[in-house]
Amino acid sequence: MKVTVLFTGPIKSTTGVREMEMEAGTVKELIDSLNMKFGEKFKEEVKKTKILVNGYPVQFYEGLCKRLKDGDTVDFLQNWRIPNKESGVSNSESE
Amino acid sequence: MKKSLESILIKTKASRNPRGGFMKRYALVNLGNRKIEDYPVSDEEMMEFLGGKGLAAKILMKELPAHADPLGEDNILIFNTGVLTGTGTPTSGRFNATSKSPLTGGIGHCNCGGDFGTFLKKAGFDGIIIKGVSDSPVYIQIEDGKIEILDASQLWGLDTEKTQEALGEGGGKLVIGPAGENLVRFACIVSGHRVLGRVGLGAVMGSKYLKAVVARGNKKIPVGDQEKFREIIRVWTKILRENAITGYQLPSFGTAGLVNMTNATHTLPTKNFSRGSDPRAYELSGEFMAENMLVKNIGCRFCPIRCGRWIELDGKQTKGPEYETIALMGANLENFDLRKVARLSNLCDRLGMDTISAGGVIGYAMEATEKGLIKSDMKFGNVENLERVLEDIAYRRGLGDDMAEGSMRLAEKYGGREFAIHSKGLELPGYEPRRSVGQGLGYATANRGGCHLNSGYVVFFEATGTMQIDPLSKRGKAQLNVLQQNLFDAISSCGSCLFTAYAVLPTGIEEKVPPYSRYSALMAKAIESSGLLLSMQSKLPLGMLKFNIPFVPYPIAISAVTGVDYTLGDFLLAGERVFNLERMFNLREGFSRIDDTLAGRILEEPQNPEDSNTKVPLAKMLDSYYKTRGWDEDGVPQEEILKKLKLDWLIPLRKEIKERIKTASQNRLQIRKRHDETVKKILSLRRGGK
Repeated sequence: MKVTVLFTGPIKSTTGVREMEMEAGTVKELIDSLNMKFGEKFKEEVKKTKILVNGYPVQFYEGLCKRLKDGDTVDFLQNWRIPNKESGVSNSESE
Repeated sequence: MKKSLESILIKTKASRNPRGGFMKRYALVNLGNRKIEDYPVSDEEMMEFLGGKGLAAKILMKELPAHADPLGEDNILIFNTGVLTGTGTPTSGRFNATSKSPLTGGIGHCNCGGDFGTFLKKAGFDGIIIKGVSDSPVYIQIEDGKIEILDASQLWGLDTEKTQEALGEGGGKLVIGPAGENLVRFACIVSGHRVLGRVGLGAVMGSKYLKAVVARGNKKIPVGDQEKFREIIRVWTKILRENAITGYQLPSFGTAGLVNMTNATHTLPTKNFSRGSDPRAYELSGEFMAENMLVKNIGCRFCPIRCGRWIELDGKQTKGPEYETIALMGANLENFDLRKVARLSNLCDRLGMDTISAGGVIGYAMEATEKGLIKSDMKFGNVENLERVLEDIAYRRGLGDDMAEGSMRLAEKYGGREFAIHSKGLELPGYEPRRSVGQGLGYATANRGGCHLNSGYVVFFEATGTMQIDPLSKRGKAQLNVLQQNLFDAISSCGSCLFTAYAVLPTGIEEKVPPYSRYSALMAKAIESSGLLLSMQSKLPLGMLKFNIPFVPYPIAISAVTGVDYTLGDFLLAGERVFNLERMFNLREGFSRIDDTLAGRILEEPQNPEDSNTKVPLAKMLDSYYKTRGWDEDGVPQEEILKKLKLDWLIPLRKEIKERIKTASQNRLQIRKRHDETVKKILSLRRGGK
């Protein structure tokens, strides 16, 4: 299924893009593809990220098994946090 | 941390009479007979309500005759401060304004930052109560214990920027612009760069021919215990700086940092609340502003957060727009150009008009035009004519004259009530409640109407915060609203900024529990289920909570400032007292259960047509809410609640309210229709008389 993926908050500095199109059947498949694409840093960051399908948090659906449809929007929304230089995670899009 | 907050608690059993925080002086200024006198307020009242909106509600209840015309000579306007205002505790620049709202007909209050509150205290007063109507334009000058009513003929007609300039440097100022002078029902009061935005208190000033209030002075604000006071400032500032929202998100992106969050969660009002998101919304965000327009942060007095924006616009440096303005003047009108939003926002400030209500009214008018109910050139996505529309409203020209009455009255005249997005007449702010149903309940029950702050801001738990509960579930929402509303009323009353409440909640939970996981869902269920415990809150003897906890610093600061032993229980009880008192005021004015509601679109049209859950299931949540509050099925506080809150003096009024509850709203509407004629009478008299 072709879905639009949006990255908001500090996770955007890990992906380097705000928006992309991806193919995936479930949220888990989508995360696996993104892990492959963006590597270890993304894999760690995504654990601290809210995931919403068409605006609704996946944990209140079937979690990562949530099936995706053509045209769905999946938001990876990360709340801002105090920058931690030791973690090497950039927190700001404007830094 | 050198010392924990517990260690700076005042342990001694002190007197209940405050030794600091208050100047212990209120003044009553009658603009009709020009008489100025002291107004008695006891130490007990000051501590019971903490000053601010709570004490103002008590004064309004005592001094304002029932069913008074909000724009008539009986209405009273109170400017006052909280116990912490001006003392130097973090964010203590806040002050309050209270009156009967000409937009809603219920209690109208605003909490504002900037300098005025501090200078009011330095001038020697905790508050001033303004009554009567002047026969010519005047302003009030408060300086070092002295109050004068001075001629403002030269200021009448000026916008808020020019008025503040004309009043000279220094001190704190409150001014109205053309919208207030022309009795626009959502006219605001401007104070420096800050605004007392909502419920039309600018029109109340305008109706009294009062153009401005200026406070200057050098009096020292007393503090009960200097050593503990210095320590609480240090510790509280550290808490705010170490919190992700108050220490990073708000300083970095301002309140506009919420845009991307509300857009992702479909809670960003779009096209007159017909949607909750739009792919273009990023260009309205705080992140976009930081990358493209931000010059520096600005902040209120004593604030370590500094969420205000100073931006470059049209070759000049100026104030940047806040989240609520961006939501209502931006996405809600399908205007995705942040610079255009900033221009409209600044124009509203100069004209002296609330940006939220203005955006709501224009959104309604655009949809009514689209549906053929109104003839106008207003169209979603077209912002080129909106500067003229705002001026038409402020000067009551053409259709602007009707729009100046607000969306509730506009829809009564032209139809389309289901898409006039307000509660109790106050236009809804920047959170679409169909994806945050608890927030919807908050809007419906907030005493000042559709307000995100008085509502308890449950959207933080449902959408924008780090701890997420199910935004479409009814469970626990009533109880959470009650808890939050009480907390917010206590924070506002004491003179702190509500943004400090972000730091009351733990952040960084998402670092430990993946937010999308089953564990996170289980945690949310636990919070929702705590509703069972929270439903007991109105019955709990909160006064028995004779302790403080480190992450709720307000009662600790109140102890240090006043020298009075003050606990978490006292603080929560004060908030509950204020909320119930304001509810009793609204009931007295003829509001009842049927007014605790929302627009048809929000209650009946699912935001997502494929998901019937994306609308607000208000009726069931409302029953649960009343029960939690200890109110009866009509939404009237039970006698035992009034007794618990030391509001026994309202028991006779409660009996009167119950006797006429069935016809209350109908009677209120009839009275309101009569009062609505006042605008024309005043303006015609002034135009003819000049």
